[in-house]
Amino acid sequence: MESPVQKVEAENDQLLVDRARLGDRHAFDLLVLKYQSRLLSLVNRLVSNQSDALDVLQDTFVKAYRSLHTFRGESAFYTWLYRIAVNTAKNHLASKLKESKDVSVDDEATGELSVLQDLSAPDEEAGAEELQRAILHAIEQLPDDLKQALTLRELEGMSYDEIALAMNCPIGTVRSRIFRARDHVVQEISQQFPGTFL
Amino acid sequence: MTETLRQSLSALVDQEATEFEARKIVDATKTRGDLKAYWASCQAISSTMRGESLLGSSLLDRINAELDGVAEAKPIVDASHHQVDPHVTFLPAKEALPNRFAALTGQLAIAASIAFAVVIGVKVVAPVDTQPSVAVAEPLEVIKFQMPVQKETVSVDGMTSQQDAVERRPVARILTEQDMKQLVSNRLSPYLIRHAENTAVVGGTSVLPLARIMGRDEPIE
Repeated sequence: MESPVQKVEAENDQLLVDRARLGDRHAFDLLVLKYQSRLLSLVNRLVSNQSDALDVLQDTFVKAYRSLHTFRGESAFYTWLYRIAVNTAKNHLASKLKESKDVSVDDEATGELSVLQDLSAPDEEAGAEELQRAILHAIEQLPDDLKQALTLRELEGMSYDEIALAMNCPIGTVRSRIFRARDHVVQEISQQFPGTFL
Repeated sequence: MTETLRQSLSALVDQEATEFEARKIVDATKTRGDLKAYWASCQAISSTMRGESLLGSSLLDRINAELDGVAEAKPIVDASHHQVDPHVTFLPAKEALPNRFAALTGQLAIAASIAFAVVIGVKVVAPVDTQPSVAVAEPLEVIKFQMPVQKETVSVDGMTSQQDAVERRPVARILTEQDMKQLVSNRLSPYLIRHAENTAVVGGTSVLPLARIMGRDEPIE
């Protein structure tokens, strides 16, 4: 059964989808930014290759944009994206295997290995890891009440109502604390990595 | 970007924003790149805390480039030539200016074509000045047909459509008053007959339009 948060999320996604259908690419950008990390984790498990994963991810979002008119909102937008990503990854693997066989019929094993081999981009990965460390460090530096509110939201997936009950404070305070926590992290990261966020 | 807007955006990330706030933010992203960057940063914080991989704006740029139709062919086979973005940036995706210009030009061209078609269409469909005599010279007399005309009278004086057409063509030039009356009468009578038949079938209420025509034709004294 759909929780209230999931229901609101579906409505918000639908709003963005509706705008994107009308040609608002900025609305679609928000959807990409929202789901790209989750999808990357999924695709990484399917193709085991960072650069291939990025290709699959790109194809997934392009297909999704071009098929937005077929999204009826019967399932969550992420579920719909998930299906596209899985199919795209399967097709990608199949074409890679076919190409590998075409290139070297004698060395079939090498062809299959090249699909599974990790050819990820080390620079980008290193940059991302550094950024993640900085984000986690900034979160560690937060005052306890802000950190607790953000953690309950992000890791426990609690709604503002539930956090308000858990922290024994008004819901407006929860909203404000989570915002201040995020805002602080963004400012910290912006100083360490100029141009990264803002 | 105001603190209120940032706070609304933070709430939207958590699905806790009101519908008004959500629409306001989505509207604002059209004009404010910093809002999109703030959204990206909030998503990055969430992803980091959940242990997901981080992605910069490079993917967004690639997607937008492909959707704009300016993407280069992707090096699927030869992964060694794959160009890697050295930086992880969360700047908003920039739209390619030439494409925007092309899109604007296209829109203007379409608008101009539509305007041209409308102007031409109005002139063709409603040629106000081209045939004034017909409309003005035949005011109510044209309606002076014998309205509830007998079916056999009208069914159509034995006139075929070809004859009708032959007769109509020269009329456009000759235009005697009698001819016009005859033509109009010939043209209208079948319609009125059909209408009368229809009203007889449908019921008493639909006789009303006919009654109005009769009334105009033979005013009550």
